[in-house]
Amino acid sequence: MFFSIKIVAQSSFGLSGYWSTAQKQISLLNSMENNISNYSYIRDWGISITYGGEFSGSLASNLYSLKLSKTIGNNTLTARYTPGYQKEFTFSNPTSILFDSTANQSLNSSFIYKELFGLGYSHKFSDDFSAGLTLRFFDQEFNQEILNSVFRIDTVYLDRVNEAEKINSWKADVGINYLLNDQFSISLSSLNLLSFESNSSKENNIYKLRNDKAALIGITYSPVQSFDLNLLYETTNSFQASTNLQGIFFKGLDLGISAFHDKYQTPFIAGIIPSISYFNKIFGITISGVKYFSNRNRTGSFSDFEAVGIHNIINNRYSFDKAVLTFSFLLNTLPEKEVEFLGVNVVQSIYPTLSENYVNKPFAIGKIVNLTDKTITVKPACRIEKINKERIQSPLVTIGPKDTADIPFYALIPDDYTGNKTELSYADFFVSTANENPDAQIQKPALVNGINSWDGKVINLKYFINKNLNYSMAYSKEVLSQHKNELDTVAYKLSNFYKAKIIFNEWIKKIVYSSDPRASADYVQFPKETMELKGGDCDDLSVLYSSFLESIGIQTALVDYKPNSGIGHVNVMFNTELSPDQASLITKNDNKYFIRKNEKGIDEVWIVIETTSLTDFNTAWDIGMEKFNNDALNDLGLAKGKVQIVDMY
Amino acid sequence: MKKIFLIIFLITGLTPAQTFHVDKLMGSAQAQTGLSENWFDVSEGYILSLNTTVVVDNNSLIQLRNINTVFTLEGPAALTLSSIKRMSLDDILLALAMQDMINAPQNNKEDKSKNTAVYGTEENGKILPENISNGFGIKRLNGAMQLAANGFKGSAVITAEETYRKYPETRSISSYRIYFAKLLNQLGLYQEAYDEFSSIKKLELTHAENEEVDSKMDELSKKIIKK
Repeated sequence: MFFSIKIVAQSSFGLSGYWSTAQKQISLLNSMENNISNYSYIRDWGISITYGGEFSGSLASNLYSLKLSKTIGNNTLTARYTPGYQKEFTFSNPTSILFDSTANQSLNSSFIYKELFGLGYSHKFSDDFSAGLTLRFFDQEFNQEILNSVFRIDTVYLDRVNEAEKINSWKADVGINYLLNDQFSISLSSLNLLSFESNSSKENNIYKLRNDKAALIGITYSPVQSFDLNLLYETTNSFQASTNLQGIFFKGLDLGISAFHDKYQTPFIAGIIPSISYFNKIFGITISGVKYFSNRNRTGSFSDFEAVGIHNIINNRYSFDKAVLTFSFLLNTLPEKEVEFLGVNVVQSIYPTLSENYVNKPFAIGKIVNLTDKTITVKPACRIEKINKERIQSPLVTIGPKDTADIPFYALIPDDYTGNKTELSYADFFVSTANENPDAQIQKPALVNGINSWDGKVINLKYFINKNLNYSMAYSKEVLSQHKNELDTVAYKLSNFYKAKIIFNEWIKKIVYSSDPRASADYVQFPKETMELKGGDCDDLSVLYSSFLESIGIQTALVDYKPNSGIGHVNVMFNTELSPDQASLITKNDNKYFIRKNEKGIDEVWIVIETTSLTDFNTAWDIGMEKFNNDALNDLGLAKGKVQIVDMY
Repeated sequence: MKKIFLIIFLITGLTPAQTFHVDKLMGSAQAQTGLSENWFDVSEGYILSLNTTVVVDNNSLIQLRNINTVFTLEGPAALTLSSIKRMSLDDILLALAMQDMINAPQNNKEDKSKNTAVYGTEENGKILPENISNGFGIKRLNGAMQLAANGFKGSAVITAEETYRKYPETRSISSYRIYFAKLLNQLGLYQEAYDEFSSIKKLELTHAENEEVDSKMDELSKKIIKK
């Protein structure tokens, strides 16, 4: 009875035309058909109601759509109800049924195409890049009248029966949006990527909305801030072009016009969609219309319909001119954003043991901009994945109106952090103003080293020295208590010297020299680990001895011999607290000590110990002083910066 | 004898430039090598390495020779042989800067509790052993003066600075201080010399010394201004 027709599922078309995605609130006007990635600038809630009329002889008014959007963080969800997205076709069978000489009747059929609702999701990966998907639900009804012959005794009755079939279908598409720069943005979406539908009879198969796969490519060019040119091209050879002008007469008033070419309609430019819109921060009103350039007030035949079919429920060769009014509401339960990130630069890797470093020196510097016309105070905070459970606040920063500022981010490493592997982690940076929720946040990768990792700066070995101070104190006191009788005979002034000597001679017996377990110069053992492992290299042994001495109140310094090439060296210097004229109490050789002034300007005798000598104290003293005299004094290493004395207290 | 020297050089790995030969000794002298705690008597013909410190007693004299230099040290004096070297002006300035750096008090630290063991030991009434420095600092300064007399002025100034630090009592001996301050002037280090004379001015000086210091400071002021 019917002929084969091609119905292509609807493609990019919006009753308000196409608006550049660069124009923030107005992008809410874009439909799911031309904004498949669901790209949106809505901060919180967005509602739009589209009502209009179709000029099909008499004005037929419709609630076209009701759309609700919600943004949560970087995610936007959209739901759309479209009671007005439907098209009904009624056909009379050309074969008449003659009932008597005066009356005949035709068999009728009707096809009803509806799009009932749609769901959208979008995720903003960065300020430049987002991706999303749409899921839309269609309902198609096919009603056909047929004649059934019923034989009863000697009479044939013709029974007029309506055969109805309802087909439900889902259609899913995905898309991405990418802002290349301030002038260009592009979008790429699928058309009819996935379709799911209920079972249908073979007879109606050919009338269903078809799901020919295609792609939709969008390009926006903004040569100046208030002017955009947009092109949406479908690979099925349809396209639409639009231009938007913002704030022409006053702020908030925008004009747009879209022209579309539909390969199933004539003329080449099938129609235009002019629109005018006013938007402020709370609501928007848009008046738009669809004007077709071909005559729509004509009667069509089924054969005509059959030959071309329709490809879009609300935009096809049987569609009429429309006038549409759209109300948009932006319900913002979130406070207005006052500050935004321009970027964050992670300036140093995290060495968890050097925790104080990050309290005093920022590990990252952020650049932020004040979006308001007033001076604001910004609260920066950050949280490093795998290290912090809570956000760590950094000092407040005040920024002038519309001004930018560099803000430091400090890290806090918990004492109980035990991660011993170096891993690439992520740091979340937040800035907030008066609001509890952050105005802006950004994530950057940050290298988090293991707890034994060291940045190579000798000054930072003090963190390793202090890490197991309780252990070191217990060990040192235990050793000294075993030598109580010996110490009791020593004058108090010499006690530092003898304590240092006794402790050295005790622990050195248990230790062997061994390179770093990871063959790396940046791995340092904590004192307890060195004792348990019974070995270490120069930095491990220096840290251990320094820790023992510091734990019982003997001041130490590490002597940092910087390498000309290759690996440097570290040994330990400690304060005997003897005055220079008392130096002869511990040595008859005035080359075996070094005089340093304390903070009060009083000269004190310090001696250098080479912990890697692994012999007795006197030998370690000789070796240590010899290296110090040669490298630090005779070769002027201290003056040239090749040798540095780094106090550990 | 030359053969013996050669054997010693081969055994020790030292070259003639790194050692001094004791050519002559009148009276007595002792030596200490490197970081050794022991002193030994020196005799003529000994080969002494550069890290040897030689002490010449009162009324004694030792003449040392190496490939470049013949050096006579008269007692009472002490000298580490490595200091018998010529220094460029840059090296002298660098060494003086290093002395300033070492002499600077350490940064103020938070007050740290001292070991409370002090109470126990003091109550036990122990006393320190006798101080045995025995004027070694003055002997060092005498050695430094003889370095200057032999033309090693830069090295002499640095040796004096090191001696002041290790033997603080020598810092208050004005005659030595004035002598080495003049050396700084002779080396063209006017600002350093002026600073040293300013420091000397704070010592107890004789009338003649006071006048000399004032005169030198005037002279140096003019030189510094001209510079």
